[in-house]
Amino acid sequence: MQKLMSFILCIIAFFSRGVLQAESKNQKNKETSGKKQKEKKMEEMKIILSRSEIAEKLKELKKKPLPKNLSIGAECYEIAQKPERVEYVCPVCGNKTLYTNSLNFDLVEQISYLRALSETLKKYGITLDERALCKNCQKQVSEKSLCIMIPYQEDGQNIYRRCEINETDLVLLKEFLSGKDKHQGFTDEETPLAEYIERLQVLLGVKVK
Amino acid sequence: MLKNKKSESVLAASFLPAAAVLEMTFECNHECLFCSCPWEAPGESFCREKELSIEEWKKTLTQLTRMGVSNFAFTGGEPLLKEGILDLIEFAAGLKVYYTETYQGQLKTTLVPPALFLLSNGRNMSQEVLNLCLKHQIHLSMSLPGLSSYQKHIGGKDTEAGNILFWIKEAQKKGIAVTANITATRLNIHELYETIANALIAGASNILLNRFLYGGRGIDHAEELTLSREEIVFMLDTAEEVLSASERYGSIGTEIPLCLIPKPEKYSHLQISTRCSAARDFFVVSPDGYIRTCNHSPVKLSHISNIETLKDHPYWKQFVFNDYLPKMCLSCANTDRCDGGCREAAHILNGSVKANDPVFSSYELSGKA
Repeated sequence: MQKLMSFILCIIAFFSRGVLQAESKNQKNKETSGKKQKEKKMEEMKIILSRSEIAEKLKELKKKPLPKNLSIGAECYEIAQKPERVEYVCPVCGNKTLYTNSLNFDLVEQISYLRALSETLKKYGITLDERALCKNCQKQVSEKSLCIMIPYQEDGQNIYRRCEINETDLVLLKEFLSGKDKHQGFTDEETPLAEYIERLQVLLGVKVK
Repeated sequence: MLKNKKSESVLAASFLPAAAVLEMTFECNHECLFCSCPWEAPGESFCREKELSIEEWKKTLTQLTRMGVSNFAFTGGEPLLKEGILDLIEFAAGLKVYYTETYQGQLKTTLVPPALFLLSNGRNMSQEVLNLCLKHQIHLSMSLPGLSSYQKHIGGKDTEAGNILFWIKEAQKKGIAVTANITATRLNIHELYETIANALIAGASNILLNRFLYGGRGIDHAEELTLSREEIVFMLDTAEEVLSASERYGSIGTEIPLCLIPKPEKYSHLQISTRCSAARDFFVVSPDGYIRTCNHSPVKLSHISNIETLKDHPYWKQFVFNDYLPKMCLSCANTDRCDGGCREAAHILNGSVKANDPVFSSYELSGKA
């Protein structure tokens, strides 16, 4: 019985040794392969620090076609290229209207600047009316453009509303109402404000006799 | 799939910007000196609440797509540390959103899957993650703050810049678009040329370059990291030099005051942002579900479960309507194309979004004026 047990143990030991040897061999192979992979990885991870080598590699890169699916990072975060559209957020209702990138593009792009300009006119009671730009609010107005509103209570007419307003109009009003006699153009060129009397009359809804 | 008839204007699905940056977790396996995450700011002023579960994130994504959000950027902390992140990305890839854009002079709305972005520090990058990116055309972005200075920047962790270059190369081999996200600091500006070049040579399809901004853990390291005006111009010139040499393109993320750039027109390969996009083009959902205007911002606004209240939040509206220009900029002729630098960094340093960008403060403080 003991002999049989010894025999079995010997057999097990023999095979175990074989297995161990095989495992060891496998391990060795794995190690070699791992080492090779690591070396390969290290090679691939190599940082190029020589400027001349970099210049050569950059030249090679220049010849390669540009990668596809490029995205534009316009924010601190990498965000997809902005959709081809113009977005307008209404300061009255807070809703957003989307426009084609041709319709009202300049107006919407400039809106924050126009709002800042109109802030300076508030002390004269003149306010900017943007409702026409908002898909939600535009049903309240007939004109489909940017307007200003001026309260003329002495005429018995509560509010004078002038539409199709642009940046120059707001600048002219600001200059006129603050008592200036010159108009400053886009490139800082100056012209007499008197040259704009007609437009100012239209904007303010008054006529000079 | 066409949803509506063609028109020139249409009411959007909601007031939300098109892109949401989703901070998956507060956790990170790097300790970057420049980290702007507000919860890493000294003094624990930012209250961390319980993180959203993956199921809650799924509901959030579904809700946001219904509200017209068409781009999702997964970030953190380190997003790959969030348990279940890959499952969530798979879920996001299966969503559909109505996407409106101009087509032949008219607005056209189609039902499409959202565009997905994964922003990682690269430490836990794997072939599995790359395969997922490939499967769903996810744009990958990995952080590379320098070469020899890499370890110092990431808080002395046991990994090297070569690891990032390796994964950029692996991603490129698979045909995945990958951006190298480089934060330029005073500690790595000397090797910026080499950093950008190595990223491009490894196969980065794009470079996103950000100057260090005051905030988060960076508050404690501001003095050693903040670039001066001259160094910012050097950063731009260097990036342009490398990009043009390789006929590649890159962009500057964090907005730079236009008045700091002597010749903006000379940068043909580098897109420079001078306007803030927070709350207009993108917004952030914190790990605990609170919405913030941008990743820098320490100001928690509405919770995602109460998102409709965001529209009327005064802080949100300040960003939507550009009501944040610093006094020094009010008389400038370029206010329609420049916001005077980063409004949140100004807020963190000086207590108001209408304060000056730190570049002006640091300039004055260092006595270089």
